[in-house]
Amino acid sequence: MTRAKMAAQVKAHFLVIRLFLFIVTGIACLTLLINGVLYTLVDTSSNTTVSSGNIFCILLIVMAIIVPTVSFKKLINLGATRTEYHWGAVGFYAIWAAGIAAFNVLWLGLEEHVINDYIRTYNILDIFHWNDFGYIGNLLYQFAAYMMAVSLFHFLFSGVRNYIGWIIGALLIAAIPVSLSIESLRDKVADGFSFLLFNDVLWEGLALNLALACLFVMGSWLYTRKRAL
Amino acid sequence: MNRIFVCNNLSKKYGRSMALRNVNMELEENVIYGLLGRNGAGKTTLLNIISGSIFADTGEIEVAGKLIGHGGIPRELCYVREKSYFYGNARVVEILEMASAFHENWDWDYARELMKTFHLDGNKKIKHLSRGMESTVGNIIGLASRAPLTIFDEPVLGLDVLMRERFYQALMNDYALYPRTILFSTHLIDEIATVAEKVYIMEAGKILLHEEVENLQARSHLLRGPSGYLDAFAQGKRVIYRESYGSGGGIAVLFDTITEQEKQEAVRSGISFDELSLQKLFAYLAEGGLDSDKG
Repeated sequence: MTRAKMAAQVKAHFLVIRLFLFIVTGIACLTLLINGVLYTLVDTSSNTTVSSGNIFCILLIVMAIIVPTVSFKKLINLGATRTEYHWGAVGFYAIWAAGIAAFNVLWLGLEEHVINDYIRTYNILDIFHWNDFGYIGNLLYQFAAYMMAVSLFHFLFSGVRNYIGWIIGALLIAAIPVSLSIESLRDKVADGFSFLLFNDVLWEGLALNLALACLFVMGSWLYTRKRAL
Repeated sequence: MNRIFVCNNLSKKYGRSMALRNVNMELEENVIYGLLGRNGAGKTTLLNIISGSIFADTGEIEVAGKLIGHGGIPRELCYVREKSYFYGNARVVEILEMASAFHENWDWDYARELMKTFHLDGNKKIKHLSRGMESTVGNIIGLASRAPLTIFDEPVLGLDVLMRERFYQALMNDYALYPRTILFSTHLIDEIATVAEKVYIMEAGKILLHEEVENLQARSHLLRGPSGYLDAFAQGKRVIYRESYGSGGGIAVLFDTITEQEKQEAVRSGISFDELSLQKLFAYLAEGGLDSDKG
């Protein structure tokens, strides 16, 4: 795919997520503002709030839902092939995953040195211990985990017009309560998530997340190549 | 002449109804075609299959000598749909920029010239455009893409007479400089009669007729006169419509070759020959079809 085609797709996808970017930015700013106001009015030092930087991760999920449901038809209408659309979407996600990962690293620094003096925050970089791998490791782990999550949603929403997609979606939704209700499975699922997101070995966490991302990307291609407009 | 597009035995079923029945079509390079047919004849289904937007149940498609696989969209094609799916919050110029990336023969100078011709404000958002102006954006993409195979589905929908004229004029001027294959699907048949060189007429999912416009017009005759003489004259000829009046007179629409001698004899028997527009011929064909031959 040429750079012009990629640029056109980045612009096209951005047009459909722009509104949500404003909403998420608004929520993040509002959260920060409310916490700031509360801090000056009452003692909130014992309260803990979600990191404003982490709120932007919602945008990744939103785009993985909107791009396959809204942008597919519009891009094909403009002359893109299914292959171009597919890899363009993956490229778009990769750019945003990398951007949000970098933003979260910077935001964590800001939180640790400034914000946490006033407000206590939960930050997924601390929760998952990704911060323990240093700046580069943190960036890479975040990127891989975000790509895995985005690819999963892209895969699920690319298949909304396919009965197999509905079956897979239903199975995934059913798998959560079923696995939590069976004790032997519960431990295995917990181990799996731990290995995926809390892995102490950087390359293992990266490899598993990226392998799953590749699997979901391949799955979504199988839907896309057979998807009618 | 080389063929830019060939399809064989295309069939498509929606539930129990057959939208396309073993359609075979060939489009030559650098020819303007018209695709005519009533609502529900299968025109848009055929165009959607050609453009790779939907999939045929059976049959195969070849564009520029390459077989198009399942899910493939021909690179040589620019398809301007009747219903455009543009990004509503994008500006016109942004839509053109995006479209230009996917068409390798795109001509920006020509696109800007067309925006001026059609009084289209590039900074206007798509969601603020009228239906006609939205069609114009699609038409500019179709023209400026200069794709070897360009398909327009109802390109003048919502355009006023002046803008329709400008569109056909722009198309013909550019076609003269950059010949390519253009396929029109439209209800405004007489308007494309001056533009199209060949037509395909569809009915009930099948190709009813495939003919050069010139031949079509030369072979179409509307005859008026006494019923007895009309029937005698039509003997052995392809009659696509016949109507008798109470007074003993009637009309007959013939789709066949009539020699000058035959014509003179008919005139002597009191039969008059009227000009038949492509639109009228199409209406008679759609009404009676070519199966209603009485000859």
